[in-house]
Amino acid sequence: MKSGAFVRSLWTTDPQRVARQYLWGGFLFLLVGGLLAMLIRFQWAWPGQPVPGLAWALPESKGALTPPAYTAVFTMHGLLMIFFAVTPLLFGALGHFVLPLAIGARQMAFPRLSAFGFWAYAVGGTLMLASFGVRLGAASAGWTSYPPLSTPAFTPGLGQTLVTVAVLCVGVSAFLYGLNFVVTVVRCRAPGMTWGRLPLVVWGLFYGAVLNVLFVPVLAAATGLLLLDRVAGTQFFIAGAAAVGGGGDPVVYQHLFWLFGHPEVYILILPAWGMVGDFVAYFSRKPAHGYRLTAGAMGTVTALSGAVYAHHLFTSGMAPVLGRTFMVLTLLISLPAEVMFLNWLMTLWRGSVRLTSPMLAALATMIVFGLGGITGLALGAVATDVPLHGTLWVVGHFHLTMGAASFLAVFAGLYFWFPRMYGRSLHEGLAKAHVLSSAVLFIAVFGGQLAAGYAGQLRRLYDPYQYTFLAHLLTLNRWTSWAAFLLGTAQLLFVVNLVRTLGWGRAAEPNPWRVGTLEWTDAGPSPVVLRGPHELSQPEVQEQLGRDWIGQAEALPVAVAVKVTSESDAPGVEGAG
Amino acid sequence: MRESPPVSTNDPTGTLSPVSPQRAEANLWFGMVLAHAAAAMLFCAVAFAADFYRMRGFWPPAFALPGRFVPSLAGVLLVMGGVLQHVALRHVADPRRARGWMLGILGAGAAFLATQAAWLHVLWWHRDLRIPESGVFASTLYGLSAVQAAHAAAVLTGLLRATLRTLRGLEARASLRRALPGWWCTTVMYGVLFAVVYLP
Repeated sequence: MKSGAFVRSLWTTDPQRVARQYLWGGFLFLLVGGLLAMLIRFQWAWPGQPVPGLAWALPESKGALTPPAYTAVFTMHGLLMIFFAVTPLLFGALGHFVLPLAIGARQMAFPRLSAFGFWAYAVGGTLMLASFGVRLGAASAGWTSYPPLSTPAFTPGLGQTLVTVAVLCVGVSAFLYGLNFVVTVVRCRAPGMTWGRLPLVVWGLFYGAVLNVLFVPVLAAATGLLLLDRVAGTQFFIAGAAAVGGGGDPVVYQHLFWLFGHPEVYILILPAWGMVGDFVAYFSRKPAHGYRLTAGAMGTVTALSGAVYAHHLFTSGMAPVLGRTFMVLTLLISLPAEVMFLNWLMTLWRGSVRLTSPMLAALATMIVFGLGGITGLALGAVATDVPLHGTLWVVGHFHLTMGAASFLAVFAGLYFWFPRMYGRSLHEGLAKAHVLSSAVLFIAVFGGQLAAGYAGQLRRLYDPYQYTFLAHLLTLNRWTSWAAFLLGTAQLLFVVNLVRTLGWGRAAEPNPWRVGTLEWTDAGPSPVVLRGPHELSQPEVQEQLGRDWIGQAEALPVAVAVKVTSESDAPGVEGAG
Repeated sequence: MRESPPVSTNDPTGTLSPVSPQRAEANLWFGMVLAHAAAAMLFCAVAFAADFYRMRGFWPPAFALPGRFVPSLAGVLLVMGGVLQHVALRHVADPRRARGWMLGILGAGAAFLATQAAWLHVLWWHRDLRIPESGVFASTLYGLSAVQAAHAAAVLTGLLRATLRTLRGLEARASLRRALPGWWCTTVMYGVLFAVVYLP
């Protein structure tokens, strides 16, 4: 590519190019965040020992993590993974790529917002990386940036301020693509692409985008006020200000943060659920069982997601009646999730299951999310949350749900859409090995954290073994760390596969997975959608076309088509595409 | 690594006609409504924080100045500007008739911002309601006012565009329609600010 074309391509409004920009950005931050995770695991396995190869970064301690360095490491790990890796990979990369194609839109509703969103993300990411190099180090108040730790009194350096601005930048990016996705799905669907014909992944992206639009501004409020406290001397979250005419309250920040933070869990998992729902149907060669119920369940979770946040604050001294209310709401939200699970299992039941790499990743997502969900029940109930609060149990739980499940879903999507994205086929064997090893090792690592948390190990301890009652957990933590190192190493399978495919991979087939959604079927630039996304193994289609799938916009001879599409003949949307 | 084959976009040949102006305008209007809803969420989050502080102590504190006349006047200016916009929408087809109305709306908006600025600066800042010395009350007053003023300024920028179109003799119905939800959103948020900061 010539340099001029390269520079022009940086400000691209083509959603598929924007998707690729997010993809590479997300991979970069996944790498940095992953390496930081390895440092945390090293510290828990060999506390205070020099980390091999780290002496150049920490010369004074000869490569050993000091307590300030350790707090910075786990803070930056969390922030990078959540805001700069997994969310942008799910929405920025896969969302921008698949959403307009799957609904038959000719473009995103606001193409320039897509481009602007990416650059806001890039600026935020740059600030994050820059914060490693400033005096007094990077942010070190934890990924939640709770005051008073995040106020200048405890984190006086520029690093925390840079990271606060970076979170605001990535919030702008998330808001912009959220708004863009909502308008695109509502307004730009192809004619005939009714709500009942949307692929489930589009439902997931849509609901996630709605949550972005509603709750990212709340994060912006919390972060903005925190920034003012840091740079303008305001007192929003500084309790000690009572001496000067009425003080602020750090608990307010916790309320605001979790009012965003809990929906963020669903922002991450809704697209993953959508992918699981679609892939389980595609690779069982069956229509998705209870399609409407699944879409409805995702909507119910979306509606409830903002009403359960205070279970993160059970130990903050809230009124018992509020604790009980939020406990009931929290436990209620698991019901629609169970409906979805049952629908997925019913789809698998007696299906012609094909264990392709996207299917394996989707099944692995189901399993790790199931484990994360079950372990979360203990945190949703007040009586069990109180002793488990602040332990590694919480860390294991949210890593299974937000980390492992979302990570595996990203790779499910990537393995599925890569041939369409880059026109080349990834190596199936390497992909399966990557998914299987990652899934097993995720369970080992986060299962180890759950066990250590249940035994009472508090999160974020620099050296847990200085406490006698935790000393016996050293062996468990060492084994867990070895599993984590293996997990990190297993990602090389993906890297090798990616490099090999981009460099020397064979050209992909036009529709390698034999599915009928618009992104895979050459329906032309202005498709008219005739049916839903999961019309698989229909006898009439097999009889007429000699295959078990049919494109969403593909016509059948009239006599048969009427029978196949009779349930979904609602009038088409006045589409743009 | 060799270059990847070209990616199929939704419009690989670039042959599709652009989205119709009416449709693009409707998309934009919907997007603006969502953006204002998001701005309202941001503002409500800040107002929630302010309300939390109110519950924790005496509000307004003893050193706060009495008097709600000027803040009420600012609210009246906002309501007046909103009503003017509805009137202007009726006349917008004729740019010559619309000019006066549009300038009136802009004037109301500018007067609102000026009133707020003067009230905050002259009466509050000038009389030693400072950050951080005056604690969370000052933080809330200035913080909420700044967020609200930023939103009002953004809406006014959109209206300025519509006014310039009118002054050039062009039709500005779309720009005006787009600004209307923003104006009322700003007005409602000012009502929230007024209730949170000034009412006992």
